[in-house]
Amino acid sequence: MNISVAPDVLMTIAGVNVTSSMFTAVFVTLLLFAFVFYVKAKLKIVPGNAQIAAEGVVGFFYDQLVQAYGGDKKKAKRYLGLIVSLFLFIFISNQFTIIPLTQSIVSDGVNVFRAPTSHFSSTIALAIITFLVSNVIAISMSPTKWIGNFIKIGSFLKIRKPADIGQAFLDVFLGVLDIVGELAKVISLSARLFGNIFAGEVMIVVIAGLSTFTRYIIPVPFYALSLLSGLIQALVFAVLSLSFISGMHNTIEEAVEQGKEDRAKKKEAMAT
Amino acid sequence: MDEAIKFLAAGICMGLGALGPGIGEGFVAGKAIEAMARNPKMADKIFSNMLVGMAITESTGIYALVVSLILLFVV
Repeated sequence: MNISVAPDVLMTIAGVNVTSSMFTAVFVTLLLFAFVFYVKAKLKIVPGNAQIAAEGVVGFFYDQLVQAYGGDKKKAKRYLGLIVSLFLFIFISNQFTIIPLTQSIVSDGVNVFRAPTSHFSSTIALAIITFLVSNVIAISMSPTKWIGNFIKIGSFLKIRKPADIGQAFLDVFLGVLDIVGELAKVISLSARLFGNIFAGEVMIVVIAGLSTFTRYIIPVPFYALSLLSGLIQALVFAVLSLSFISGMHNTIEEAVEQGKEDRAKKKEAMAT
Repeated sequence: MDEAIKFLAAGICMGLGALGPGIGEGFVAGKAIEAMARNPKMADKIFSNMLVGMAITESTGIYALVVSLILLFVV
């Protein structure tokens, strides 16, 4: 029984340790490429099995994105690639260790394949991608509104009567909470995925290691459970990153439009 | 001694951390089944939303799990 949070080192290339989970991540990426090219080469009006699966996944996330962006199909198409590839990568890497014989390939006493999502660093990397995409898009839309979203000094300028002072301080405090919340998103996204997948593996190893009798049929329901949780966690990761990206986008867009309206009102007031 | 305290800490962390999500997930499932019984046509949509909601409710339990795994295998 060997359980370790850190993955095993396969080899060292130019001072960089290549671990089993890194190797598997590259392998999963190649598998995904192969799948995509296979589906693309066989596109037909009457779809085959692979095409139905691919269309189902893409269609599901497309509908969700169109809903999240309030019916804007152009924007939905722009973010579709990111969300679907996040889902496919996480889904395949969660289920990778279920593939027969992958756990029997050993080099120098080290398992070559290990689920990439059972390594904390890779889930943190995936969560940071979501974090960066949502924030960089917001900055590129309007840097001042993005800063104003977190540091809410604007409400100090709107103080007209003494009761507004309390409101202004509350707004500043809420802005600080938003900063903490934005950083907590990275931790919560990554810890959820890592915890589920790693716990599934640990549970199977522990059940199989209890005694000789629990080695054969008993782990099967636990395998089924970890298959289900792998699918659900991939779905949850994709849906949550979709809602983070679109939520950030929508708040900035609203703020920009609000600013335009305010300016128009001021112009009208000046004119009259 | 240190080893014993480590195991004790992991056990307490997991045990207390599982309380909240247990109650929360039961609540989510109960409400979802209530809604499905009232409106069976929407059952598929409610079920998939229920799964996502449950996975998010579960996350505090998963944090406790990550902490106890780190206590057991890393520290």
